[in-house]
Amino acid sequence: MNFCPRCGNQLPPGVRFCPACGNPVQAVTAAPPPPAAPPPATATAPLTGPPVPPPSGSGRSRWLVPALIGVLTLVAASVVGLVVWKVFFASAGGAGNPDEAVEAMFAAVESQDPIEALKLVNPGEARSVDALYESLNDRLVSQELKSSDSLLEAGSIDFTDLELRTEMVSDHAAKVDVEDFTATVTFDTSKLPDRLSGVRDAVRDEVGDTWQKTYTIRDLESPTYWTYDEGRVGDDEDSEYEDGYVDHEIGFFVMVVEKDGRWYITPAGTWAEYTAIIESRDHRGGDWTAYDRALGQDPITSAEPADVIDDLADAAEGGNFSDLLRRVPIEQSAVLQPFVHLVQEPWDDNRLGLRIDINQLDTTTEEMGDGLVRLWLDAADVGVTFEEEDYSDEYLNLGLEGECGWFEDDYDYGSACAPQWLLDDFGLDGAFVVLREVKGGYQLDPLATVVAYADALVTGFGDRPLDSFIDAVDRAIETQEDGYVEEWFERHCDCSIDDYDEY
Amino acid sequence: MPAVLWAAASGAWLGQVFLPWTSRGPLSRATPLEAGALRHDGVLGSVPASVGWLIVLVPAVAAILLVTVPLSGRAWRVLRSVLAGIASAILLVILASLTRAEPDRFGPGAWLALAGVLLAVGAFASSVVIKENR
Repeated sequence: MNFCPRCGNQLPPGVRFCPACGNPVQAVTAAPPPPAAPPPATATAPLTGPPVPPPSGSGRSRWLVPALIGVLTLVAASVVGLVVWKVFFASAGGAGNPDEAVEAMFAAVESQDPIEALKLVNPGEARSVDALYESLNDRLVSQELKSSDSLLEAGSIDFTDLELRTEMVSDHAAKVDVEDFTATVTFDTSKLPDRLSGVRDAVRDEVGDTWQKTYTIRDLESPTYWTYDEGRVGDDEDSEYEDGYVDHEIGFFVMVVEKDGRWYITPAGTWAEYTAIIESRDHRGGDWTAYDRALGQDPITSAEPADVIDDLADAAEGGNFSDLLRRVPIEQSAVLQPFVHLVQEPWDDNRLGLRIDINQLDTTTEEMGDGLVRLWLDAADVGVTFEEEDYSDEYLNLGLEGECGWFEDDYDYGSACAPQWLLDDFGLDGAFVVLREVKGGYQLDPLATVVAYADALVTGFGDRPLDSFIDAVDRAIETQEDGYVEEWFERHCDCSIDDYDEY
Repeated sequence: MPAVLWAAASGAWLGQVFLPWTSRGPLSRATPLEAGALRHDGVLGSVPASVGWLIVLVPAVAAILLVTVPLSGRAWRVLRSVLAGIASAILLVILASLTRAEPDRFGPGAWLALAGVLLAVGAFASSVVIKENR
């Protein structure tokens, strides 16, 4: 039974308005249960306030579900937003500035964390290296040579007093000099695996159960180049090398490059910079503004995988080394562009030339996923002629067929086939290069090629030969006699060239 | 009871992205978030590209599941079961890919994700039991 909230009159079922006062009321379709108590007498008094809505549960339960959904939506949206931002928009690797990149790399070495280290490396130079590391780690674990992820379980290193000095060498590249650090190296012999018991005994005899030593940067031998100074002839006290030569210590540095606002260490660029300083005429290193320019250049690609080798040969014949590099993925080639002029200038000055005749090239392709294509070189016959003005041409012929190859130049001829043990142990029965699909075309990917060969070696090497090789190394170190390793090689391979003639 | 289990399952699936999935190997110190980002940047080759996407899909499905937990009705119950099924299937694919389904390689993230699957199974079972009792 229902009552009018305005005048308290009993309402018959189905009415929309109170028959006594005309107040609109919710339709009553069925007789509700009687009220617990009769309406108070005051309820008959006229009411001036707004109509009271019919009761529909407590206020708490009315708000609880929407509020709960709101909170959960907020939590869920926050987590999903964070995930999407981290994966698709935030840079996973690199550092905010060149100093930070190098400091973080020292920290990664301390923690022996390969992924942390890879995150700081120029992506083009780090790509897929983790897969190789995983394969290697798995093999070492399966051979009981290690049990955890540390690169070297028995050893650890701690760096302190790290001092860096950054010099911007272009808008997007920096040279970070490592001016000072102290490294404490600790070695715990007991953590060497049981599998290398011979090595462990030998090391324990040499250094005891634990060994610790502290080094500073001054304990390391700096890379050096020499210049000749006639004024120094006869005064060899200042030279460690030879009378008249002056040695120049280069010190320790790391090249760091910027990509999409983050800074990455470039191992190839660092190596090339050292090489340029040591080998170039002016010992000044690379022109890193070329790196900035390379970032804005379009890659040069081949339309089909099978065309890549032909196109590379044509580019090499053209003698433009910058364009030749642009046929390699830009993240790898851009860090080498600063050094092109060191090759290009003497090449042009001496009017050198190169002619490449591809007499035969049979290839097959294999999809590797991730935009990579393996190009098997089934058979090849390539003639290479070096031309130099005022000198006679030099000719070299290289050939390949299946697992056999040959070379021939003006003086020598040699041919060889991959030994049976190599085919058996690694399952490698031919040569290949790895190509990367870039902007609808294909480029040679040198890093992916090296990683693919290394992966084949790591995963393909059989358990039995690996077992016997580890035993041979273990015994050789324990006994200080390398005959065990030599014997292993004699048993497993015949590495001599089958046929070799000198004209 | 099922609501608590559904919430716990989706919470586990949201939380797993912040924990490493493997106990050894190169990803043993990287969370799925970092792995997905590095995969997206093309640095990680040990993680298949498809897994890079699936890593993002799981928390998205878990988020929808979490939002539906307070809602009652047959349609929502069916939706929750379907979402849980999808998330569980994806997680098993990721588990097989990242840890090769070897329990000794499971890291805290993998265990938490598996706990989420068990909680989801429990939530599904208890919701079926409650429905039959009605």
